Amino acid sequence: MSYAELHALSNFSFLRGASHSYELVEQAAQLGYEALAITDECSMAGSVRAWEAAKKFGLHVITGTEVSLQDGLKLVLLAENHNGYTALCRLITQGRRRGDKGSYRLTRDDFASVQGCCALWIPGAEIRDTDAAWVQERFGKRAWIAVELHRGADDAPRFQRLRELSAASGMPLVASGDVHMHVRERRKLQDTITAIRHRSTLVNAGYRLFQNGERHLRPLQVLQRLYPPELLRETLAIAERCRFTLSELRYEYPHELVPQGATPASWLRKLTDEGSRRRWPNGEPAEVRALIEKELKLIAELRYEHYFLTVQDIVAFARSQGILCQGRGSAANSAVCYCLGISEVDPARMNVLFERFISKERNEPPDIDVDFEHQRREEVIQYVYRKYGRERAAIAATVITYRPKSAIRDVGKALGLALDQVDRISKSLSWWDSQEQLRERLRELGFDPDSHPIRTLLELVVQLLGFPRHLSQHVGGFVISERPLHELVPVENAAMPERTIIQWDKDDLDALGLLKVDCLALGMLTAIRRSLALIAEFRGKPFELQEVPAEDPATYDMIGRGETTGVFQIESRAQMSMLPRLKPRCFYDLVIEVAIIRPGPIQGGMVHPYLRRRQGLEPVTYPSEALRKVMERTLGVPLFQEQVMQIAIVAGGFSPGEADMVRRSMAAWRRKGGLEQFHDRLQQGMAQRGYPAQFFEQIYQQILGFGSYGFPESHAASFALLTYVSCWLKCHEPAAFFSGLLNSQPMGFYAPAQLVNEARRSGVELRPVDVLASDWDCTLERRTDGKPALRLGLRLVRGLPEAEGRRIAKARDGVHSLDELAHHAQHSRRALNALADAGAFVNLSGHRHSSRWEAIGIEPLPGILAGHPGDVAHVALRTPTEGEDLVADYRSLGLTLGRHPLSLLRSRLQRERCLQAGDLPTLKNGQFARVAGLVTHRQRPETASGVVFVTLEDETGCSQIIVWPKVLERYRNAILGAQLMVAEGQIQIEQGVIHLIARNIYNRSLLLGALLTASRDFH
Amino acid sequence: MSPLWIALRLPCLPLEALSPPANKPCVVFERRGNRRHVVCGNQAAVAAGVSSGMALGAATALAPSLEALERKPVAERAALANLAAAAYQFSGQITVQPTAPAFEVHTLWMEIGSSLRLFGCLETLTEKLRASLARLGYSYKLGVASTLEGASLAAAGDLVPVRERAQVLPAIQNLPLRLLPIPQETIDALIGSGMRTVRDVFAVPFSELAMRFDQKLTDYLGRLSGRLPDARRFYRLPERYRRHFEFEAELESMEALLFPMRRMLVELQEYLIARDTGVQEFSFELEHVAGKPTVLTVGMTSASRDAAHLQVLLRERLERAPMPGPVIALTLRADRFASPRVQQRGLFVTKTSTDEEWEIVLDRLTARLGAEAVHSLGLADDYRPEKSWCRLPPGQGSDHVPQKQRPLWLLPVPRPLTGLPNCVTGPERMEGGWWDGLDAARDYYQAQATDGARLWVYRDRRSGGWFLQGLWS
Repeated sequence: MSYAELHALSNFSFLRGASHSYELVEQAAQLGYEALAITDECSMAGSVRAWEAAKKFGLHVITGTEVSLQDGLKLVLLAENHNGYTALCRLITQGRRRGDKGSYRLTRDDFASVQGCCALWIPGAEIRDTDAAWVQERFGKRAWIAVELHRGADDAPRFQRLRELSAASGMPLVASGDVHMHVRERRKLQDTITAIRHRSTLVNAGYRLFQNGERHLRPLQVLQRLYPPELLRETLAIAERCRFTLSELRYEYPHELVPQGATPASWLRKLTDEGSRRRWPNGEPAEVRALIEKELKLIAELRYEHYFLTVQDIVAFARSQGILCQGRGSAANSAVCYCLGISEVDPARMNVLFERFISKERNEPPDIDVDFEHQRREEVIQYVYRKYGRERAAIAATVITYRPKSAIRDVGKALGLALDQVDRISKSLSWWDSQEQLRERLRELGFDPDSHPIRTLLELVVQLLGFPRHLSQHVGGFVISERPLHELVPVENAAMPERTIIQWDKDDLDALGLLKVDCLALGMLTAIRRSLALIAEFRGKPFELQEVPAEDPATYDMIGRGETTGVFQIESRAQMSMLPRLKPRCFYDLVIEVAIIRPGPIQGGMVHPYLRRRQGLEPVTYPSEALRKVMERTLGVPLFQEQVMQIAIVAGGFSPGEADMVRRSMAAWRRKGGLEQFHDRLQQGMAQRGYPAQFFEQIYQQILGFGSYGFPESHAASFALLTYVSCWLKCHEPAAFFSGLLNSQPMGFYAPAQLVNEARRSGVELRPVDVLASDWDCTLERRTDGKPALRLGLRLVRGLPEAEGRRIAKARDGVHSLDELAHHAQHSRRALNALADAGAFVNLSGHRHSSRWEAIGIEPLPGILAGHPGDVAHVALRTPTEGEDLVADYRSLGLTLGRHPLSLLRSRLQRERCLQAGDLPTLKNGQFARVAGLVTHRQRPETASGVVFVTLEDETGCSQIIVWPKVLERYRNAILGAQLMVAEGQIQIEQGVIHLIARNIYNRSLLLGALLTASRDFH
Repeated sequence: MSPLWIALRLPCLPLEALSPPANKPCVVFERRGNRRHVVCGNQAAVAAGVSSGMALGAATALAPSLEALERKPVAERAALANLAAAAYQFSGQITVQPTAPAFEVHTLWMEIGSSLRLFGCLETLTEKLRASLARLGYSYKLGVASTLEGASLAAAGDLVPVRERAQVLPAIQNLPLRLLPIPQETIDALIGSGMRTVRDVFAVPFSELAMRFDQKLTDYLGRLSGRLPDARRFYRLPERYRRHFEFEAELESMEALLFPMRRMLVELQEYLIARDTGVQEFSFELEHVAGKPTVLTVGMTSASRDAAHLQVLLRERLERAPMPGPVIALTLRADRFASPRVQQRGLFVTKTSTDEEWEIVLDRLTARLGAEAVHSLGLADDYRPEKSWCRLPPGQGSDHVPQKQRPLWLLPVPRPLTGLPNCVTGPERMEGGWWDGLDAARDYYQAQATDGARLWVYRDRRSGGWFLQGLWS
């Protein structure tokens, strides 16, 4: 006699289910179950994973849900068919939309239209006849009484009572398990998450825990001893009725974008042709025309027209509003997308790349992410909601899962560890990764890693890792549908008001082959748009992105010198140190530069081979002639995700479909594992074709590396375009470039102080914040020589409300005193203080001290007295010293246009024999040096095995310090705490890149007195 | 006699009030919203680089083994009261800052102008004060000046005593103005206007200051310089009872002791009546010629002022205490007071008196057997039978609902069974308790013994052994 489990919760019933759905499915299959229903509480969030597991283990998995109504009635509903599934989605959506985020509210009235479902009534502690009657009345022949026996004290009398109820009502009994875990061994974890759910400790959880571990998938013979055969047989009958699977889902993109009389294909062709004429007014090159034809044919075959049209529509809206945007992804760099304006990557620049972006063989769904200006993306999102309605557009979910920190916190609290102990343990994890290091750390913190509580803690934490905790909003992935979305998947409230999310995340959508449009926010687009606008205004004529000249040698010269502070993507310390070695000379070099400093290539050990080949230190060779085609453009070293997949096909013998599976597994393997199966196949395939084991190992490592942050060529190409534009702006229009950056803060890697310093080094004249000259944003002012100077904007003034700052430009006309301005602009005391501290009144009332004193003396005078300052007694106030001004500048603006703080301390530092950053290039490799500087960055890249990189800034520039773990341990406090740091050690010069390998580190922040400097830590 | 003030600034009081561990870095933190900030830390913490106002996260990063205690205002008030009581021997006019806002240092002031003569000179007085403070173990800074606010500044700025009022301003004028106990924003505004020292502030006409700042600022400056009077509410000793009795001869027998004790209890009774209260706990300290004194503490379920009742309880206690030797002095202390139940005899006379008699019995039992030995029984939330009950303070009950199908009589320790029991119902499966190291996995049955008794037995699922856990009567 077999059995179908009809009531099982996975860990998508947050903090209730203690097993992943694939564990449940695999276990059920092994035990010989006929079927398994995954019935997460009022949720379909785990349904796709369950469906995938069903396919993998060949088990009949039923889609269903468990719901508890407001009046306590509890039901399990199982979808018989597509209609039933749709009804469940609607019901869940109803309940979830009504509740706060993470909760739901359902009443009996909500079941009026539920059809196509089997209903199991789960009686509570008190068995009420009226409940039974309602269930039977509502669901008729599709209603059962669930008998769930868990060896409790009153199993026998309960069973007897249900038998009588069944006999009296005619509603049949069915066995079910209320399964919360796949095996009994998960009982500890189930107890633990129960305690976490009740915000209790295990000791205090008491009867809120289950009495025993019976709520697992029990072997058939155990069930046979427990239940009469007819109750087990009934499970099979129900399972037989519930044949629905997610494979039946059909999904369509909105139809309204195609006007009447046109077909999707004809309309897409029309828009493409229009775009082509715009791009190539004199007719496109023949090969481009051929490409367009090929792509259109492919799109039509795969029936993706609606998808391209949807993206085109969103992008067209953004364009119409002057919002800068840029598409990326495999489909984005197609000729069609270039014509539709989705991407600016010109086939003429990208001829190397173009061919491969859409291919039928690989059968990938097209993938287009569109980046918008970060300050205006919300307008785009609102447009999508407006156009399609909230019924048909929603944001995909992101499943927030347990990570080491959160798992340690929650488990630790449940085990009753003191909060500060838990905090200490979880903090230690962010710095030390491996198991052995963790044990060492615990010992240092005074915990015995082998003690019972700590062992238990670690054991449970490992199990809990990767468990979903709650659903959150995806950063911008929209699902848009022709039909109401809640017929496809439940929709629930997000934390943000007026936002709704669907219960599936991006991998779920991927698995079902649903397309989403990613509307992402990108700060650099804001900065570029603002820079272009400033240039246009200064020149008095429009200046568009397309007018930026391609392949400008001066720009590449600048990049080759590593002078890339503030530009897109290649601005980090690691990138900057790579640039002088790579010396990019063309657009494709930038594409490589964008992609190379990533965990994938680094972990795969590809960076240095590429560098050596690029510098001609190593011959360019290929593992085989077949692979030459794949790797020629990267000198025989695979750097991109696409290449790794091509290698799997060419060298490993994978089919294109299998290679795509690898791609998807790469994105998910950290979460779910599952790459091991490819390991052996790839190894065999490559060995058969005669590739050395070492090459296989490299490729495999790289696959693992891509797992965390895969970086495909198609994204790198789009990014590289923005990189090029931002570099060109920095090189040729630095005043506009830095203004644009400052006006787009907060964004990017550098704080305003570093941007201003870099602007000054680039020869830009900077003018201070001044109420008589500054606007809210930074602006360009014409110098006598006709060149632009950068006037700092009032937005930099800390504590100045934006509305008041914007009033100043209008109120300042004809104003002669601070008092007049204050009354014209109706300034608050707070704004006046902020402006006085910023030194913005200097041209109205003299130095900072006197303007501050005057500002705090201004009283809002009533009626006719308003605007007529009273008599002010004269108070003699000291002129601020340079140091005081500098401190005030930093405190108020976060930067100074005066001398660098270090230059005020220089004579003292010189006595201590500290060198300047500018001196370092004169030193020899291996020489000993000591430098001092403000700490502007501390970084600990995951790929750098515990090494910390510190950037120190002084009046001549920045020095890069490398701190090895041993030194880090010794000078932990100084490294973490110093604002002004002195570092000494050996100079390391490698291909023009200078580092100081720290031996000793000192915290000299006291020298700064009250000087505040903000360091951007550990981004 | 012109007034003279001592100010004690107690920067570490929030920490010291919590008796922190001495051997490792430790801080007290305070919550503001959901952020936690360091209020103060011990030496080890300061040595690691932790400072006041720092985010707790940053402090933990500096000192990973840092112990962080949450600030407890109640403990701080108690510590201040303790200090004030100690200070009472030096001055009758003691005042403390009523509340200590975030990061403002607790300060205690004492007027000593009037007590100087008693101690001879200022130096003797401060020396004695320092000795007393050293015994209490608080860190402090001490300042002396002829105005109250001047004294705090003198403490903050480590100044020598300023005994004349006219000297206050000259003495403090070079101190940095951030030492002034005025709002941070005022300090920021003054510094922002180029001022640095107390002198700079006094150089500005008060009318200009009054126009820009709260009147509190000019008031404060007036009190600081002594131009304005400084009226304070003085601290009053809490009411508590102390009676000390020294004997001319050594008392060796218990009977001999009882006599003076009875007298002292009667005095206590009079005192309680005068205050219209009762005592909940009192203690006798018996001093011996050598060695530590013996302390006998007597607590009661409900407060009483009846000397006879108190004496019965004391006697029971005394009978159990070993007499370590002859006694030369007695101190009676009573700190915990509460209104006794007023004896109103009404309709339910019997009930009331039974309750009271029951309480008296309880008190006597507790006095005789010790507080640890007497308790009520209650239920606890735990599936494991041996953990499903708990001890409660005498007279208290629990409102938990008992589990079904449980016998009332549990064996202290489950007894292994030799033969297989005759199981009637079951099994009921129980698993749990792994978190406290006593993981149970058992199947429970009701069994019939040969003599007809109903037994509660279980089979341990790991060992397979059978055990008797309890019996139905």
